[in-house]
Amino acid sequence: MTDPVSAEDGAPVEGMRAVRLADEDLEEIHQLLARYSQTLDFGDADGFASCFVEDGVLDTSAPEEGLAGAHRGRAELRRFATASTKYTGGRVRQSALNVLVEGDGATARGTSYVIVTRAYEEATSAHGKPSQVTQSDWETTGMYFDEFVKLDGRWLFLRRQFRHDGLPDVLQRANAAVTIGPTAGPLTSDASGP
Amino acid sequence: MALTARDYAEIKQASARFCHSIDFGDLGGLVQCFAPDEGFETPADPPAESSAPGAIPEAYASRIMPLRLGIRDGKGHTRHTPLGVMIDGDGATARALWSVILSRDLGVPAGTRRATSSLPLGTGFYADDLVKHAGRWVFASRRFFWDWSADAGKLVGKPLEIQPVDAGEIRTEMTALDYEAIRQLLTRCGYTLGFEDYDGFADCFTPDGYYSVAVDQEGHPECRLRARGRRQLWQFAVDGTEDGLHGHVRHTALSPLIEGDGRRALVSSYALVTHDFGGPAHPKQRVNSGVLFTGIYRDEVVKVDGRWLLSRRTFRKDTVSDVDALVGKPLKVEPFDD
Repeated sequence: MTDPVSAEDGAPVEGMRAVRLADEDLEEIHQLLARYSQTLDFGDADGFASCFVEDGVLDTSAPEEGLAGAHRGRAELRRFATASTKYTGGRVRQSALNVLVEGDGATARGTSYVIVTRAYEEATSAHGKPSQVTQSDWETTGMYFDEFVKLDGRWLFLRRQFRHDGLPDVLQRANAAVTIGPTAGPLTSDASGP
Repeated sequence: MALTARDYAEIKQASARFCHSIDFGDLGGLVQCFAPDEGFETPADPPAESSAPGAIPEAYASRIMPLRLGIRDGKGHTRHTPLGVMIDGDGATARALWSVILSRDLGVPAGTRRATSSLPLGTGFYADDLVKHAGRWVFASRRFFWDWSADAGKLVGKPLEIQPVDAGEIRTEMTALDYEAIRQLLTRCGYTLGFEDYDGFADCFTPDGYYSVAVDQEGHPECRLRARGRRQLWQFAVDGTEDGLHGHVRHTALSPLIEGDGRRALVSSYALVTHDFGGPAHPKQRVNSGVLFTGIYRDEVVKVDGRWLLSRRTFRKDTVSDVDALVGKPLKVEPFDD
């Protein structure tokens, strides 16, 4: 899929990989990440589900009923988006940043940071400065671990993991070479398939 | 030779790898982000230092984070997250300016299930010089400064040195360079507003460019502001920064979704507006920046002489009725109606 980058002495550099995806592929993957956020945050359940392959999987550490665990296939993904909107009311914004991607023209993997904010009807005191008010606040942060596949000329999620920062799945990556893509092992609570 | 779409992509991958490496303690990966014999420059107080590659991790892990923020680095709890970037250069060297937010998660709360929360600790900028070394973009230097620092203060009211992306001739469809140029335009528009570069802000628009804003304040009806043409846009930027937070507000556009044909494009993005609190009032103050408000940008951009410009920008704060009206509808990337 990718080749290790060679150091001056010709030896592979551990953990450093070249971007082998075509420019257009990289861009389409970035656009997919944005479309995922905007369809989910605004409750466009069909648009959200169409970001995934037919049997695509979203595996999330969200604790709320209807959101927790693995959601496989577009019907479950639609239900997830609808359930999510009930909790967020269309006021949550999540963005993927610090995106690392590697792959070829057919498949790719990604790891990115997530920032989540929420807007409120009533102003609240900003952290540390009671005299300054805000109508939006920091909700949480986390990470996405993704597998992508190109089908009929379009990049889609094959599998997406979301993990809140601070959870063992995230912390286990500390003090090791940066890796790109989903964590190995079973999904959070996938009762619908292997 | 101008930077290519590949150059921009690889520079952004290098920065992402730097941040992942720092946050997760991949010290070998961190060193590989730098050219040989170059280093990372830390904020003043403790005194600024420039370190050789081998000393970078030690300097960062042992000095900067504990002293500046009272947090442990490299344990997977800290996040250095660039929000937007502007890059210029040639095929061999480049420079980049990134707005950055630092945050830290608070771990798994006792008595609840698996959700965690985090705090935004502070905002600032990376100022980078990059070189292409052995076919790979690496940092010749990376310097970080906080938004409340004297270094940031020196940029207020000054023209931005980094040049806009030249996206070349109009093609029949969007190129990767077009997408990158549009993203950097959104970053430039936010930067010039935050740093009160009024001419630079107006230069982000076509001569007859249009900007409309809908905001609300608690207990007050929605308020709409409109500006058309360079003079009004310039005045809009002046009026918009007279809020007592001079030079301390940062406007960023996240998750930009871009649909276009190479000549014209429509963009939907998330506005995240932060402000710093002027620096720590005491050494143990950990949270030094916060979210001021969030909203939605819906833009129309056009390509003029190789440069993408805003012809129409509509901003809606997340709590106004236009945004609520989007919920539950199929996503359609188009400007808000006025």
